[in-house]
Amino acid sequence: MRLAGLSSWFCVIALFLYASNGLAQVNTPGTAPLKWYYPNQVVLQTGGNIGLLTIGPGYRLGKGKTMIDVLYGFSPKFKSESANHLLTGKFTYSPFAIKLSKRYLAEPLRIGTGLSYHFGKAYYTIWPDRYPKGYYWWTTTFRLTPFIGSAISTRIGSEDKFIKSMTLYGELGTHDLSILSWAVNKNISLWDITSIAVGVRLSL
Amino acid sequence: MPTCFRSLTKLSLVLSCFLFTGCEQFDFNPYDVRLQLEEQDLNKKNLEKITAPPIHPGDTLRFAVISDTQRFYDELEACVTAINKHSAQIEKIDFVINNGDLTDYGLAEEFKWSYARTKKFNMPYLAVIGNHDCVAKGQQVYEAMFGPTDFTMQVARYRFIFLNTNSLEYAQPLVPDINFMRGAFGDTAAYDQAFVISHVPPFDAEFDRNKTAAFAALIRQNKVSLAIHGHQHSFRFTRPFKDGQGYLITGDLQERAFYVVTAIGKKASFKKIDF
Repeated sequence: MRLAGLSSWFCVIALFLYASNGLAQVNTPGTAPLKWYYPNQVVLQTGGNIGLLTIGPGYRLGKGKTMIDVLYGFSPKFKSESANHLLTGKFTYSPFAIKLSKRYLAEPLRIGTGLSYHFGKAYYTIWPDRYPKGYYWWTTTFRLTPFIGSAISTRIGSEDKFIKSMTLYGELGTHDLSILSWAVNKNISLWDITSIAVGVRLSL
Repeated sequence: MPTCFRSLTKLSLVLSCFLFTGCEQFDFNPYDVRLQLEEQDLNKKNLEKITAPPIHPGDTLRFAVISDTQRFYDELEACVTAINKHSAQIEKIDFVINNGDLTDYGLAEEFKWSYARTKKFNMPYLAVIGNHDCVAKGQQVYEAMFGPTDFTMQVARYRFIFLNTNSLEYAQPLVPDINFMRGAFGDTAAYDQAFVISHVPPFDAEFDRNKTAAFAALIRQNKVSLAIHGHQHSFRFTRPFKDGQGYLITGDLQERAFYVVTAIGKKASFKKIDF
């Protein structure tokens, strides 16, 4: 059942890419420059505390070493009453890249953090009035998800193609509340609070 | 396009492989309620273990109580060792009760870290829900891992009533459920003494004050030898309602103590054991 659900997601994404490629035909050289909000990349990720399936556009800043992705994430309800939906602003800094060959590029170190907003009535940004002031010091809607990782990219066709390169990345990350639990306990290990993420980035 | 599509298909396959290896290291969301089979319905499984061996009316029943174990995982580990040792060397402990606040943030990962330690108890273990365990989807994790938040247990002629008294966590006055409590006491002839066990004590500021009187009256009228609570983080024994009823407030686990309650016939006593 779960497999079926996931496969249909991949189908949707494949269709999306197919459609966007069609779009690219219109976008031939000589046409008007792209608007500022037009994304530089599309990201698809799983794990890393921001969704079983996470997808969204991204933007490269500066010389391309910094990027910000705006990602919608979803995870099923499992044993709870409702699925989780969240929106993450993901900031990544990639200080250097190594050219492996004509086609392949490696980014051995990427660091960054996500800031997620969790939707749903179970979560609070400001605790309701019935709680004494400062009763719980944290909010449940926002979570920070710092990570480190690396990536490998490959060119796809030539510069005038809609999708210019594809990147596969992996990350080891955690979230803010996990760090607090780890910090005060000798027998909670770093591995206990580590979450793996893998993702694909398509550079447009 | 075809090259890209093929690569994407390959990548999807790789991703799927990662996903369906069932690797717990892929955390999709801190609020997910994802539990292994062995991490589910624990109170039910343990109630069966407690009531399975025949305890005859009049037999001594001895249980340990801890509470507010939340982020004190190091202390929890030490506590499990200490209670196991106490049971093996000094007096047999029939079961252990954790009286709420197993977690700080109500996250499944915290419930799992707690369980990874408490499963090393040599005797059955029951958990009561605390206010921190209700935060975010915490109650849903608790219910999946342990079961209903109000429940009862009958061992020989001893009645145990476990209640959710975390009133502050609910926008509506749902908690404590006085009707459940009244029902749990109903068949008075079936027990010689009863224990009421809940996280927030009825005289605490975070207990629904509109229910305090009814709660205390039920305790007074129904052979309760001891009401046991946590939440206030330091040990004390008090008779707050001037009705002779004793309330034991257990300290948090950082105080490095557990409490042993001994029930014989119609009487019960407790002692604090430091570890």
